[in-house]
Amino acid sequence: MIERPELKEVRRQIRLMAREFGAEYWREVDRTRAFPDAFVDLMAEKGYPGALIPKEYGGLGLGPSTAAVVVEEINRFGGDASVINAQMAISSTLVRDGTDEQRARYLPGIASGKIRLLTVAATEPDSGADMSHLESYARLDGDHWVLDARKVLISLVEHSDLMILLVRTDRGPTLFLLDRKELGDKIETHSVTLIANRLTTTLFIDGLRVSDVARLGPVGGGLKCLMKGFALRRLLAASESIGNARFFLDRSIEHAKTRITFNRPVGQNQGVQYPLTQAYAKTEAADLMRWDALRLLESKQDASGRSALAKVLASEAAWEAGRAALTSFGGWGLATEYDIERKLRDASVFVFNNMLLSYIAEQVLGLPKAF
Amino acid sequence: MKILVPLKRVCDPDNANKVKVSGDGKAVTSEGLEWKPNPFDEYAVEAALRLNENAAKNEKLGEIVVCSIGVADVAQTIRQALAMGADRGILVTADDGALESTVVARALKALVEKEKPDLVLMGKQTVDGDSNAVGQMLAEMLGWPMATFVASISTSDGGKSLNVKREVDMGVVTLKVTTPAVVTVDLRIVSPEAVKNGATPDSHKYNEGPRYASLKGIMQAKKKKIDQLELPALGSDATPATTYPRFELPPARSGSCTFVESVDALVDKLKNQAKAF
Repeated sequence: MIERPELKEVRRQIRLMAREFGAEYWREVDRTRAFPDAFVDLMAEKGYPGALIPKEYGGLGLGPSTAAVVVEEINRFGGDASVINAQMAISSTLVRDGTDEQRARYLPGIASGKIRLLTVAATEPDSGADMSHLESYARLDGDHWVLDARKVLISLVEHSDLMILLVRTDRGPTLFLLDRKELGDKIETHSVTLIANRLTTTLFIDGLRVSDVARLGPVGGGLKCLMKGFALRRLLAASESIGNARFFLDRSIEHAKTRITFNRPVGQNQGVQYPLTQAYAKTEAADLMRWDALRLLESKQDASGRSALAKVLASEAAWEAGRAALTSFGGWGLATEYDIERKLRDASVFVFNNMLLSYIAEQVLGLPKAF
Repeated sequence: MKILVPLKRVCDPDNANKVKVSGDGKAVTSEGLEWKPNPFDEYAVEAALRLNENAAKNEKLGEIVVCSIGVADVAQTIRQALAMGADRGILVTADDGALESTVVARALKALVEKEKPDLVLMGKQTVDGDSNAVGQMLAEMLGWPMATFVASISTSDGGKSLNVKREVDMGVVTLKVTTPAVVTVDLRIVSPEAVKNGATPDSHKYNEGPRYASLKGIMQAKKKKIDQLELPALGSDATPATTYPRFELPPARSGSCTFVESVDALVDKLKNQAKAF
């Protein structure tokens, strides 16, 4: 697939931002476990949060390919695309399943970056990724809902103006779109420090009364609404991983050419060459799969299987490229100043693929359902 | 104001050490290097955008035409300036090898006569050839006023004259230039308060450097018009005034380093060994 010229320009523009938001900026954000405010503000000023939002709601109405190259290039230059990924991907649930009123109220602000929608709270302490056994519960009380929820591994909620919450109701899993300003003391968060800077928390909501206006999508349709966005989310995760893989490869190849030990460049050693070549081959394959899945998604075909394959391949390619980078850099790969260790930690976030492998086994290979 | 900004692409200046000379010594080759807009030309695009807008109200005030001379791929470089906010482009196709300062200046003169801009705003030099000649030649050929190495511009008389500051070896020269004119810009033209146009409030501070294109700008740029014509169609004389018989790379540096004991020893070595003065 030949990339459209405007996407090349998007890549170039993102790379230009590395001048201002170079390694030192991201090291400091990572070290202090901070939210990358200045970078996110610049992305907002240049219109990126509105990439996937329809024009009638103040966005640009572009396809997922644009979002894919944006997150890829941020990671490739050594930045962290997780926040802009969240803003672009999660808003698509609101675009698809929000009421006209919800869309008109929030989408223009999300597109301009004034409103941050960065969080989907779905995972629970006891059921993990098993969304069919939710403990968090919403009960109807007159014309209001009363929400009680306990969620774990929830990213960015303290920096998000809006969040999407998945809870059980008597008629099945249901989504709510919650405005943080209206939550008051009904929400409590406890930060959980992870290996990577994901600003993760455990989240408690206790007896929150919301009107039915806060419901997102049909009662009992919560999982379906989320699943409709899975192909996009997998493809952005794949694209972030391809960016991480290429970061490792770019840095390692340059290092392997220029670092001299035993009177020759380390890249002359097959022990360095082969892991890099293997990782490169897998990255290129993942990249092609990613574009094939994007092609399906943009032409409104079923991209579920291809997007799952792309996410698995890309996340594993990034992990392998990170391992190859350690072989090229030796001990320096573990030093903060070379950024390899930081990006390895970022890349680790994407390697949990068992649920997807089961999904592919069942949906693509036709094997019996595992979960 | 109508501004014409000539723009040249150059091979990645951050990797200038990877430039090679062809086997026959007839040409400089830059295979494998990325093409980028000449940085000084990019500053000229930014200065033109600042001159032709009200940044506080996000309003555009005039027209900016970007032109380039070279192979068809140069359209991509023009497109980058259109993404930043320029209005339209002109691509004069020609073989890169046949272009030197005189040919370029003559072609630009023909374009100026066709487009009739109020101002030609361009980089003080390109970072590949480093000739620093086209702007001066163009002004001479047109018989227009000229200001080179300009680090700040403020307009007066509704844009009919420009008060510019030029950075030269002796200090800063302040000039008043009446338009139409040729102005070549230096690095500091993209500092936060270097351009005052009477429309954007004087207190406005831009970000340092050329602006990033917005995502909307990038998408709009693909719909903006780039007129394409061949160099002979301009009718300008395309015979180069200078030719380059042979290129050679400078000898590789030895990279040696000598430590000296005192300032006197250093001065002695600089004078007698390096013959620096």
